Amino acid sequence: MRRFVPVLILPGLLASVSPGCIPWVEETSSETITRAGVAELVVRLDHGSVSVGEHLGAEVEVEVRRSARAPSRGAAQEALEDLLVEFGDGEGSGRLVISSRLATAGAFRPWEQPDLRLRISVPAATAINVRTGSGRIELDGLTGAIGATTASGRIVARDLRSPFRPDGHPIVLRTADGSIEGENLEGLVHAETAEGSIRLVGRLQQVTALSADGRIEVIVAEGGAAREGRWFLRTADGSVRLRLPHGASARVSAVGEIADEDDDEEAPEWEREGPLALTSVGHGSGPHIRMRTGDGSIRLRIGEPD
Amino acid sequence: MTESGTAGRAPRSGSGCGTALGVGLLVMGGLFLGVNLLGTRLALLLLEFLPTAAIWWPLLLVVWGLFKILGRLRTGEARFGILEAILLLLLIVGGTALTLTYRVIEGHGLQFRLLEMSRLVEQHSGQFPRRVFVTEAAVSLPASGPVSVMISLPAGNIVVGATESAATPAEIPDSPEGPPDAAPADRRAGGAVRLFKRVWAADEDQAAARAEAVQLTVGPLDPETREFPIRVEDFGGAEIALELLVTLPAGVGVSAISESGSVRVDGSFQEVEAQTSDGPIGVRGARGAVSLRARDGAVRASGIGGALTIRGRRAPIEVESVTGPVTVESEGAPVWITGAASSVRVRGRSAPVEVSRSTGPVEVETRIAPITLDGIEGSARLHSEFGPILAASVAGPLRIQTGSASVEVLEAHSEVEIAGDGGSFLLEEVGGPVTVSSGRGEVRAAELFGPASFSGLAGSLTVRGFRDTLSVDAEDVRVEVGTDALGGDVTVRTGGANVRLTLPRAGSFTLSAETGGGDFESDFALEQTTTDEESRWSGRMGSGADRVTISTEGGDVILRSGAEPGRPEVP
Repeated sequence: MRRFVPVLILPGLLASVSPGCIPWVEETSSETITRAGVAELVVRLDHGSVSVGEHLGAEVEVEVRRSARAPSRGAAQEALEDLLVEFGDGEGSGRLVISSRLATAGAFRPWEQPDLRLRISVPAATAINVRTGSGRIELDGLTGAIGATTASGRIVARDLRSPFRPDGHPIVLRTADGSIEGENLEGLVHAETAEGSIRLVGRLQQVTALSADGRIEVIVAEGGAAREGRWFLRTADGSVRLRLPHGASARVSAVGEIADEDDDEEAPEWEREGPLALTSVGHGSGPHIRMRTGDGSIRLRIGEPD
Repeated sequence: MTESGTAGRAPRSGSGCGTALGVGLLVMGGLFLGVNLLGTRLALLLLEFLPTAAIWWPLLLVVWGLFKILGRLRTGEARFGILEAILLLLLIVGGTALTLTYRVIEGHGLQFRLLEMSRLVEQHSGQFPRRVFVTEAAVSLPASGPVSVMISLPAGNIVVGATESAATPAEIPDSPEGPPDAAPADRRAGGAVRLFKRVWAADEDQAAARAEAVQLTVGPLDPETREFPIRVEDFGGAEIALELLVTLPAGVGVSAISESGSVRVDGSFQEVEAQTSDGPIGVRGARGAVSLRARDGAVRASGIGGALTIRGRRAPIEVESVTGPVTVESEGAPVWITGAASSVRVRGRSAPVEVSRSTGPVEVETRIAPITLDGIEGSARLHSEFGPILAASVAGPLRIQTGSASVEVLEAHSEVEIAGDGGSFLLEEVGGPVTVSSGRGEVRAAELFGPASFSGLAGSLTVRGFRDTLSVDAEDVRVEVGTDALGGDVTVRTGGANVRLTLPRAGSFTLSAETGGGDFESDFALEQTTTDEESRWSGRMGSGADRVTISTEGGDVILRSGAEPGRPEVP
């Protein structure tokens, strides 16, 4: 055994200097800022997560929550201070601009892990435009115009309403890398991800869902899909699944492998025309829904799952 | 009892592992002694001696060799055991790896990363608190003539705002509707520079010395080039983060370049250039040309009054409301462009590209990523080898070239030209002439209002509803054409594939069909002429205004009248 002592010492030595052996300290801080008379909220973060919801108050309330992990308490506290958040009022424009950046960006400090989270409450019908360079976006119970873009991160949307107008702006949810999940949405929705899945549920009136790599699932609740319009559900790689409510009427066309028998539910009859599969739901009027996949299956179902 | 040849000497045991153990103990003992004597952490010591070890480790082999030679001279023998061989191998492999690693570090100029790793350990000890130093300077620019303010920073954030806003950059409103009003620039108001130096050092003196190693140069204006420098130079090592906040009069040109960190330029500046390799770039409200270059950070440009050029690599590019031409290059992250009032040109290798609500002309080229157009008032030219293409609501001429991607065209108001080797091609509601060369792909077209021409080698062609002339020239392509009204001549020619044609029951056309060897079925009353080589059918319906000509070398021909039963209604 003694012969292997040098061999045994080496891995132990390497393990002792690896960063994983260093204990981290986490520091957090929280502050709340309020602004009145805001009709439009614009958020521009270099990094950080954002959560926006409506409340009954007349002011915009922003809870800025910073956290930082670092090897020492002092370093963690300093890292907190380096997360800069600025508030701009567009001087009577009714627009509140919140922007953030990391003051130490560009310095190589991998042992400091600062994190910014904004939790924002807005009055009803406030227009929201949220953008982050890296981080998750959560939208909850909003009724104004909505746009959300993240360069890297997931988008979760719940209880959003974009009242239908022929020229109305859709709820825009965009991520370059991450999934999009929408529950109880109402109105026009444009969801787009370069890499990730899309799942949208609610009384959807018109949907554009585009993924370059990921599955798409759209479940339309009772009262949705009730108008003329152009639906487009497309993924380059992944399945496309659509569930329409009983009583819905639509024309549906699909490109991809039709998955007719992957469950016990009743599947519509499809007609083939070249690369296209065609069917109609209800009496065949209403929106034209296009389901497209480059490599995956297509599934259309009507009514609640069995 | 002793063996011959070793008389008078105690026999040696082991196979040389003792030597190896000795070398190991020497190295380890030296390291721990260094830790105790210098009061330095072991990791620091290792990092400190990495460059030395990378060069001098073969000295261990030399010492070992000398030791073996001396042993041979002294004892007359030199054993070489298996464990020694293993240790030697490990030493050579490990040492070589160490040397190569350090050469790579040197080759890429990454020695400072080793220093930063050292700081990681020191930070853990809490030895390096951060101190902030601020250097301020005024910017005084001439009242007339063009001026370009050249801002450069080795690394860190650059934030540039316009003095006319009298606010921090975050307070400048976004301008998605277009560039801000060109307010007259009051150059005499000048601007200001604030340089934040965040320094990590053991004490105040060291921090101050480190901060002084960063020099800020503001001006003067070069009268020939009309360039006004705001330059930060760092003559120190690491342990510093820099941030440059600049306010400048609107109307000047701005160039902001940082090695890494974010760059933000907000305000109605004349021309803007921004560059960073690791961080986001945001430009708003520039009234002149804008040129942006990023590698790993997201790029956003909005409310630009001039031309916009962006080169990005791995992060998304977002463009909104640009008056001038837009040129974008991206490698792997999405490109989103909305509200471009002039031409748009995008090259994205594997980057999904979306252009919407823009004037055009639009030119997009990708290799494997999807292209999406929606609401283009001008022309569009798209090229993708394998990425799916969707072009919806395009008012101008549309040209698409693809390898074997799926192509879909919806609501094209002008001419459409598609050329591909394979894949699927869907067209719906096309107002102008259509020309499709589908190679071995599958084509489905509906609601064509202009003259349509299709050609292909194999696959299938389905046309439902056309209002003008139709020409099909295909080899082994199954053709299925149907319409409820004719608006011009119909010509279909295939090699060996079948042709199925549904014509209006009460239409007025002169029909002529021939097949080399296939079957023929018709709902219309036609006259047949048969020769040795082919069979011909002809007839006249109504006034016979339009000519319908079908010819196939070996395929079947089926002619039907009226709408086909069982077919779902197609828009």
